[in-house]
Amino acid sequence: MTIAEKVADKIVSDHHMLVETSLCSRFRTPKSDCSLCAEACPANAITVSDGGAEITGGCIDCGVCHSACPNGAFGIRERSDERIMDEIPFSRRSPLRISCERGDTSADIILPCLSRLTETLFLEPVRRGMPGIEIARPSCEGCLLVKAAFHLETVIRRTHHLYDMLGIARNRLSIKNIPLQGLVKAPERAVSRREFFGVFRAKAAGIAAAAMPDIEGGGDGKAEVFRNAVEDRRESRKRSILMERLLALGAKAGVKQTAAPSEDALTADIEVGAGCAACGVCASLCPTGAISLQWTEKTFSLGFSPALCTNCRICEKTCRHRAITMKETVSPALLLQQGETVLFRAEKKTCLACRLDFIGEGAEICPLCRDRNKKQTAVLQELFK
Amino acid sequence: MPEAGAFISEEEIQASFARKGPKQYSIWVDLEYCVGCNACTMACKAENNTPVGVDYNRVTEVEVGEFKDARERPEVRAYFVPMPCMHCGKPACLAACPVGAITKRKEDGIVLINKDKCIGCRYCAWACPYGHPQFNPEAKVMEKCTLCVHRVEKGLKPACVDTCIARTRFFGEVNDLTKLIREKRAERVSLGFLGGKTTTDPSVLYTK
Repeated sequence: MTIAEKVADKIVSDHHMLVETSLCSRFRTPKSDCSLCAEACPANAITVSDGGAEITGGCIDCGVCHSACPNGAFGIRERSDERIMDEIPFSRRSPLRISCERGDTSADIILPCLSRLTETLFLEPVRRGMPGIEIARPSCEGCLLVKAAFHLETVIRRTHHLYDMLGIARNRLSIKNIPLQGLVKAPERAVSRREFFGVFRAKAAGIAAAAMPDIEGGGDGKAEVFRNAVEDRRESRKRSILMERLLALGAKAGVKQTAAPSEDALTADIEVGAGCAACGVCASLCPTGAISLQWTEKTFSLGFSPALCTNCRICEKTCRHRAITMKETVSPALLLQQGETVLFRAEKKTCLACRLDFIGEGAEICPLCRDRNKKQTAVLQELFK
Repeated sequence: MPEAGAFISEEEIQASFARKGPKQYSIWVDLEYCVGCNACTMACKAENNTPVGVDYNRVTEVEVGEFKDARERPEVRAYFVPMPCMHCGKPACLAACPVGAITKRKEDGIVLINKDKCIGCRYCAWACPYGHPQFNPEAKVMEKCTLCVHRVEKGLKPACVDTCIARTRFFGEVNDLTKLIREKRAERVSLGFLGGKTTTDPSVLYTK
């Protein structure tokens, strides 16, 4: 793609979703089997490969992927969570009514699909002192977006655990089942501006390309090196706006120690066992930088910030030494724990053979050098048997 | 600290890389004539400009037999075994890499580490049954024998093969090499692969 095409793409893009690839688990490691976005996407517009998640076509801008991705890799250009929160009318008496385009169209907030809702959107009305949230949910069977339906349940389960932690009654979030309505299309929007300009897109890109010097070819022309891309961590906007709400509510009402099953928790309770070999894979590959690694003069240590952890489990899946274990039940209150906890600490040593730093008790040679020696002896013995 | 466990199961290796490329370039080392001069080690070091401590080709000395009685004929001899990367058919390193930085090229079967992707975690060295990949502390990446891919692409032989003073290393497609071995050493050939031909399907051939 030339620079001109990129510019044209930005101006008249086909969809409003933005993918921040460096936050995607699949981009960071092929060992991750995450495909939550693709599973939830009602339009089958997302392809997940070793290069990360990609919107390949047919995107209908419903925003379900934004809600489905734990790492917040999907951003929304127009109707982001912040914009939706701006739409919330303030009232201390009546609950906030939310529905989808095929539900109660007189609701306060109408979304393309109810699975677009995030935990943040369930916390914000409570923070503002509204009495409750009422979701008018039409029957999803028969809707074209039925594939995304399961995700709403997940978000509600997770929200319930957050409510428990903050001492908010679960019944402040209620669901009312209504019949499925026909999709009402505003007649004046028969051709949207976007569609109109989209027609010119390819041509405009061609003209712009001819008019502009190709500065990309003049540069080093190299794609960003993966190793640097994983080190360059982007903020997960989804997580930071959730944390703002949680901290505000937590400061007001206090935090209770509750327990949630791991799959419904937004963070993880990690333990690092003695098997740790100080390889640093967990810290390098963690998409949000929740695990940090420090080599000091005499020690090696791993730190963990639960507020950043999204429970994506990359660390557990990639650890070759199987040193990382995650607890089955997690206290959501961990999210509000400030700062870092020390996961693991060990004394640093320098290997006499390879002169690299390692950890391990009572040894002068690092475990890798010992293992290498053992393996080479074994294969050679077999050859001359 | 546990020793390297069998974390990468054989099934996993099979699944992660079951297919062998249509071509497999390899090396045949005739151990009968290797004198352990380490010229291959030095040629490799010069060719690939490796830092101190990193060698893509190391020569290991192996003593075979037992010295029992001085009056009888001692059944002892030493072999020198040069150990480059075996460019396995099902590389354990490829299955172990957490970032997918290791590839096996279809066209020539060469196993390569993409240094732009490698994060230097040394998982490949843990997984390799020959302990071959080595950490380059200067670049903070793993490095391994490339079968001199830059030379092979130009139609040249790897530096270690070209330099061998005893003409004990041969380079070529693995099937051609097998034929060559049958021609040259038909009488007393004993074809071997380091570590057997079971788990990772190594391609470097040894005769003794």
